[in-house]
Amino acid sequence: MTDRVAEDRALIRRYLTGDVAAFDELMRIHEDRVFAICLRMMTDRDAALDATQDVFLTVFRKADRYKEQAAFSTWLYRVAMNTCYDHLRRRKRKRTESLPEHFDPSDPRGGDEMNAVELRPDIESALSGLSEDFRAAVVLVDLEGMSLEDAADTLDVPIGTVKSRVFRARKLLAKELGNLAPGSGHLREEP
Amino acid sequence: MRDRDLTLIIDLIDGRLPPEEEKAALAVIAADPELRSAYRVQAAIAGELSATPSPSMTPSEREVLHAELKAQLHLDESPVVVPSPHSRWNRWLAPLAGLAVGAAVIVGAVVVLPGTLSGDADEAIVAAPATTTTSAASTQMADTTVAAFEAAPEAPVEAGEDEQSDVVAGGTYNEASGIPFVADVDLSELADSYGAGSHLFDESAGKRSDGEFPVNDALVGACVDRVSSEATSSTVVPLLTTVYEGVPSMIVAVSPPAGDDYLVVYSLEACEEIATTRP
Repeated sequence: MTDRVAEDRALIRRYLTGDVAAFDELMRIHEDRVFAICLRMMTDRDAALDATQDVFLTVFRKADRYKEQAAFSTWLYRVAMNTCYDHLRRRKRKRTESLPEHFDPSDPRGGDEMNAVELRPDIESALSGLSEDFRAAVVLVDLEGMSLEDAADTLDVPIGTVKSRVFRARKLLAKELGNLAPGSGHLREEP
Repeated sequence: MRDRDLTLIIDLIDGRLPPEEEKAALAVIAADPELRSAYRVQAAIAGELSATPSPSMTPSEREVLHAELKAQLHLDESPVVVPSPHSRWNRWLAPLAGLAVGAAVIVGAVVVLPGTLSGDADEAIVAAPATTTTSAASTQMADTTVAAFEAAPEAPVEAGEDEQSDVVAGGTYNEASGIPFVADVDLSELADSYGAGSHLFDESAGKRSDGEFPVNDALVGACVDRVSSEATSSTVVPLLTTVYEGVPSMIVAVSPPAGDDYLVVYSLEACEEIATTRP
């Protein structure tokens, strides 16, 4: 067991006995990564902050359900992904309900992408065009540097599925980035 | 492209292959133009993404997040409860306790003080005996819903003066009930979320103020009381109230002694089961 895993478990036990300092410490250790995952999934800063808050609410309210067979971080990131999926679904529903009559989905001025400032705009745009499953895979593996095994645990899918999603997502991103930036030949596939 | 090639490229880029296998993999890729092209694309995108700095919150965003969480988790007010072995239900037992109190106060007010509802303020204050009834009813209910009831100290265990006033004066709304109202509920989606332990619903949608609460809170309390008293071996926990297919309803989670948990929708007026995910 790594130090990090053991330390997280000890902090959770302390939190469950009412130690508020343990809450602060767990937040300090994990909040940025959870926020980063949420921001890259939601592509909107406010939405990412909302999702981050919901993630930690869920985790701390259900802390007693945490099974110590898995690393706390794996459980936390799984909750983060589930929460982001929930928020994205809700957002999609809201958008569908409130689309203007002459909405042009290809209009880059529409949508939340305008608020996204953390990634290069072309990468951000390409990422947001991926399906949620593909995006989740590249967010965890490429952007968050998670191992394929950890990503598989987090997404609760076999490792082969993660490999396939990452591969296909990168291919789609390359195609999209190639289209977006005609001059950036380094991303083009060889003829 | 074959799955084997895809795996080879992914493993190579991820640095998962031992040195000899890595050499062999590179040789295979170099010899095949299609694999070479795919490898370059994969490596370029992976490199581009991994070089992107990780975003972080601003200090003010962090501060707001911490404050919100502490407020919602009540960390500034009281220590976190040590969970019992049945702690899975703890989150829902606080509202249940509140509802038990509410229901009992109503029963107490009606049974013990007939005629006082229309009386003047002095008569209404004589509601003191209802407190006794409340405590007894809460204890009885705790027996039917797992001993973990006592692990919800934030829920009132005795009716305070405010609650008595509310019930006596208004007769329909008891503020001790913290059960949220959610306008739009898909039962199977809720069951899936509940079973998966993922986020249940947007709790900010919960409406608790007297004016906005669209279901009769007294009915909720009475129905919870009835359902719980009829559940001899299962644990029943109210999740939320809603208007289900046009009917003001309450959704409860039922945990039987054996088998999976399931949800039941009760109409509030008659307190009858109108839908369920029971297997």
